[in-house]
Amino acid sequence: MFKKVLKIVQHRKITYIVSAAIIVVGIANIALRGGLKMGIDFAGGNMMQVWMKDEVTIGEVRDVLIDTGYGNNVQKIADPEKDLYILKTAALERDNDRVIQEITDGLEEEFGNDRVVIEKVDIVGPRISSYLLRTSYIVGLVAILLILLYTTFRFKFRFGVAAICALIHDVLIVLSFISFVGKEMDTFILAALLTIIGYSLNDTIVVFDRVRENLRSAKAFEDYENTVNLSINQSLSRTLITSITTLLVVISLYVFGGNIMRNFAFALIVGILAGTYSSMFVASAIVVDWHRLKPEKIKKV
Amino acid sequence: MNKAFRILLVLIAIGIAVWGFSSTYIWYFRYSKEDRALTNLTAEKLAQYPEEKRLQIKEMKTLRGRIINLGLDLQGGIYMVLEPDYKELQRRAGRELTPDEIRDAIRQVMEILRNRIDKFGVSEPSITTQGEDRIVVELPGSKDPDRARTVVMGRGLLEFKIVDEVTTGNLRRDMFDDTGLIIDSSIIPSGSELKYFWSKNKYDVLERRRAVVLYDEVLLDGSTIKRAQVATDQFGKAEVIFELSAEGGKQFAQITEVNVGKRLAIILDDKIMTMPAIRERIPGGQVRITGDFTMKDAQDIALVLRAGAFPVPLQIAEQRIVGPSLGEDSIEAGIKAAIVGSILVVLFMLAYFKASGIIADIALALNIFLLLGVLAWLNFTLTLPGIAGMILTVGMAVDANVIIFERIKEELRSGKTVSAAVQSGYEKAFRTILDANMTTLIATFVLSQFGSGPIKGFAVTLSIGIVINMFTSIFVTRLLFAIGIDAFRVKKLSI
Repeated sequence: MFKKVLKIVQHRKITYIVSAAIIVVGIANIALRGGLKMGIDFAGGNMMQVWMKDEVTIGEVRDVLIDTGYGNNVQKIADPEKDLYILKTAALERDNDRVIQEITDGLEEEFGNDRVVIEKVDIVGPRISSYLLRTSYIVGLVAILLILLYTTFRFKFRFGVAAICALIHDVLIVLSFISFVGKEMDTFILAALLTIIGYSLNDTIVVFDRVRENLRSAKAFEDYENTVNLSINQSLSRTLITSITTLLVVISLYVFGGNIMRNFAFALIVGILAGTYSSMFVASAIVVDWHRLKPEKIKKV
Repeated sequence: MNKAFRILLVLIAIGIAVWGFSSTYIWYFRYSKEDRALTNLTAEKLAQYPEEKRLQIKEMKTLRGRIINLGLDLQGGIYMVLEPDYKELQRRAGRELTPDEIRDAIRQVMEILRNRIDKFGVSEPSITTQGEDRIVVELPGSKDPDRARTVVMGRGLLEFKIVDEVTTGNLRRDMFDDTGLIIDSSIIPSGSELKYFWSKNKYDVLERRRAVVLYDEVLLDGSTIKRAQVATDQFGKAEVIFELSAEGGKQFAQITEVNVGKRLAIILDDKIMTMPAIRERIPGGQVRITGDFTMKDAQDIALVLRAGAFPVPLQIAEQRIVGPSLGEDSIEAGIKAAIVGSILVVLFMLAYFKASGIIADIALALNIFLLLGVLAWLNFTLTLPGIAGMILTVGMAVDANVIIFERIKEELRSGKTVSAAVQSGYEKAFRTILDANMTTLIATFVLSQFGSGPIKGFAVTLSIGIVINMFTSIFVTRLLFAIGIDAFRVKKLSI
């Protein structure tokens, strides 16, 4: 298919700038908003128990909550006598009374003044404890070290570092986009981030494998940059096909998965695009520049 | 390896998956929602059903241990609000508690709850605070409300009391109504109380047997227990042996000394489990409970006794069944989306790789199926993050084949024959796939060491998925190529 060799790593100056720009703006945006918006699982929030006097569906109740802009966390209580729902909102602002009032107004407007009974209002704590969050940093660090160890063993240290840079790049891009569109950090996004880490690593290693193979010949080694570029080209159709197939699944999740899956699917779409992009324009580019600054020695095979 | 052996290996894998997944299939597709709900009935309610039905329910309960469970987000579960009884704490402290002390106590209680629920093997629970000082525990699946109570409340409900032989001896049948409850409770003298002796019926369900009157003074409670373990007696019956603390042992020796000749009731969760007669003073603080319980019950009891005591007595203020936190509508939409996505992937592979795409698609289907089989066999709890892991598995399942096929194409372009191209394509691609998957596997393995929570579910699904993926996308497809090339005498590969 791609017979003509496309110049890819040669454009790395531009792509470095593009990546850096997105991440810098993204982080600045996160900082300006006072950190990532934390969802109820991480930050806790409010809960209200509502008795719907008329028969409504959970989807209708959730739509009202989404319209008020306070998330989408609705749960039905199995009660034979009443239609009870639990609505939860993240502690976005301290003015809990106002949040409750706005949701109540929204519900009453939709279903009728006398058809909605607020039975209980309360504050809920986070589901993911701060302890778990703290340990997650350590676990992440251990994972990174082990990956570095493996890639150093199978490839070279610099390849491992480059792969991890690409991975961090992808995570930061996704976080930036989440912040741009004002979504909350919840367990869905967490799952999406983990998925992206897996995808990004996989994608980078496949490209690196080709680089490793091509670098075996002394002639190719002399022309390091072009060899890396050729390797990207050789694995390009695979890279694109795999992103397309994965995107097919994720996009259908976005389109058909209902409004609750949308954040999750959105994060995955951004992450897969970033992961595909970064294996070529970040990971491979870093390997080329590293070689320029500190040439690696050719492996005797 | 010769072909017949390879085919056999694939068939064995499929067989294991069918076996693993069959319980899940029966549970979710053959039983109706009403039938499934029957397995959540309490012992009392179950007793109202005819024998045949009860046997069937017992079978269903066994089946439930071998299926893919759905997490709180996908199927909802039991929702319990626990309220600490600070009066007790205040009484012990002899003063009002400061808000800090209350917060500390709550934090401790939550830690203990988390440990305990983990030990019972309930995966992906949710434990949060509500308001100032209430704790909300959600357990996935509306499994036995009885067991949920044991898991959550457990300890502190073990008590030792002496049987009031005189009043017990005076009990007559006509003092009780049809359901076995006492009609006129005034016949119980003050200082005594009526409890029931419980034992298992043939359906393994605890049933209320006879009434016993006890002196209501608690002589010893669960807080004095230092160690508890399970053993079997000489008849193979399960028993719980526990060791009392030094002080508890002294108390126990004293109790047994004073009450020689009387029966000692050991009460667990308000049910009398056993009433051995005290023959002599028992020093040393080693106590064994032999009751009418199974090994599993004994293990549960020992667990409850072992897990730390709550600093505050808890009460269940509210207990109800809640629907999935994602909502049924979202789950339906999610399933629809996953199916649409998978079909699109299958079609894309056919369009792009033509006949070879069929092979990749078979591998993909087999991959998903094997994964479900293994998850069922592990009695895994599937949550949305777990499904995310499966989606990535689908993506990666195809990826391995894309890598292989692209390699084969390259080899064909360089002028090799079909079977030579297939062979070297697989050989070259293998290393790529191995490294790519190993790196991901390292990451997911580390993540799966996480105690609990959504991260673990994701990581476990993905780890298993990767291993299965290596099998289906390399071993199985290669076999299919070999069979296909032989059968159709392929000169030109459709790829």
